[in-house]
Amino acid sequence: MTMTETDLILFKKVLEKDPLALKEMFLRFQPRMFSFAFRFGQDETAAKDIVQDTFLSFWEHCDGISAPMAVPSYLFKTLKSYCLKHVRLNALRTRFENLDLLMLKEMELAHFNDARNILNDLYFEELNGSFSEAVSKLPPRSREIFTMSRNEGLSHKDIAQKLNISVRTVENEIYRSLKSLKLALRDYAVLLVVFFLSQS
Amino acid sequence: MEEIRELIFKYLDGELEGTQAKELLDWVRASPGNKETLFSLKEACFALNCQQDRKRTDSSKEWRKLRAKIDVPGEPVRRSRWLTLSGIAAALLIGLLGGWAAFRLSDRVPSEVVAVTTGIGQHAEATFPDGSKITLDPCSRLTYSLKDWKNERNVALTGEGVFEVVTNPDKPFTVRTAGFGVQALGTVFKVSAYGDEQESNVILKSGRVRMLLPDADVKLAPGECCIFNNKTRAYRLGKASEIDLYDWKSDELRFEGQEFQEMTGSLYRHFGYTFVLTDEVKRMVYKATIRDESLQEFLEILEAVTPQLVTRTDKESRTVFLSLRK
Repeated sequence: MTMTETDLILFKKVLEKDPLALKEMFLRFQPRMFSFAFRFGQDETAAKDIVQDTFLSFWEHCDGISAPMAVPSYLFKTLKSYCLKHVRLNALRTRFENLDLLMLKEMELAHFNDARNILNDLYFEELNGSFSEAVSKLPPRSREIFTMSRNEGLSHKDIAQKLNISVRTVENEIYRSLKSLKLALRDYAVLLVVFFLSQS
Repeated sequence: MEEIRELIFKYLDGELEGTQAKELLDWVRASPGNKETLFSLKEACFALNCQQDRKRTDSSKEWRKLRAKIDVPGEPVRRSRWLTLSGIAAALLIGLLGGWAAFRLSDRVPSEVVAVTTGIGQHAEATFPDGSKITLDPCSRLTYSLKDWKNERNVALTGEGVFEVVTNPDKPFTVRTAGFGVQALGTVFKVSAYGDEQESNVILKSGRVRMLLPDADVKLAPGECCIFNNKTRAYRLGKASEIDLYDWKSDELRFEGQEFQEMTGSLYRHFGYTFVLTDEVKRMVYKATIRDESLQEFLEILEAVTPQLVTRTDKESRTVFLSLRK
């Protein structure tokens, strides 16, 4: 994990129990931690609580961390364990009616290992960068569709209506242009695009 | 593939249902590539929505929420005036509730000892916290402490009763009487321990009991009985009669060939009258069963089968005098 000098100073201060440093770290990490928890459990209120609990637990137990550079890793692990607790409790409440979904969720958490730590800025920016890159390389019309969807949250149906074309046309066009980009992109960016294409 | 794709999107949107989850899980398990695909998509989904999700949460507000919960070393704990007031209110409320609870508790202290008592001619049934049961015969008293029940199953008995004990190897069920104890592990047995009788006895119907006698521990087998002399504290084992074994829970009073004098205790407990007998009557032997008959009816029957018997009832002192006509 690579991080800048200022990051290390910040994490060191957090470990020294400096509330201002904690605030800075919170404001920086909270949005993506919320997004992670929300996309994981699909529950907005629960996601907010999970992030609160994560920070609270971190603050109470961070005395045990000696290396400042381990802070994002520790924080992400704590976040994942609270996510896990949340889905397991949910499964328990429904008397394990959907054990298969719980299995999938647990596998998903395992997928986000140290190399995929969303609190690691390098990884996070790469993920976002690949996405932007993939979009920028799209033909203008397809890019328009992506931008509309991302910034305005429109569905394929809405986009098709807005551009006065059929949904099928939207999908076909994007799909064709993406085929040529496929090799240049990282796996998940390709998949993201495929995901996008198929969503309607 | 088309179908799986649909499942994947449902998964990412959190709309996957039970059977679909199984289908998707099977697909994921089918190959490492599939697994990678699904969760890479999840990564992408996260990256895609991260910006948008910012609108759903207010970081500054969330920070203030967290700040109120954490303790910072060396910093005095800040609390708003409202919190202080509510603190006082809470303290008052706790005080009031505490007082009320203490009042209620003081009210309750004696009832921690549970007692079941029967009078003359009365029977009672009681169930213990563990589900064990007792049928109490007349003029008996059974007590136990509810507080100690969690740790040990101890009951005290004067009088007579049939116990049906629920098995619990960790917690033996012990019946204590004035002269001896009976320890059971899950059985049906009858204890008769009236202090005013010459003898007490324990009859075992099924299971196993251990007699805790003053100077010995004796195990009883089903069908056996242990007879304890309340004066000499000696005991002897014997076979219980069949009627004792199979018909001991009824409200009947049975004469089974004992001398009349042995029955006076039972008669007193059944009718509430003291029987005073002349020496000849004491040694008389009857076989009889009393069910719902009143004292009057019982005496009439006695006179009918024993023409020379003279009965006199004194209702004031509640005494029945029996003698033989010379």
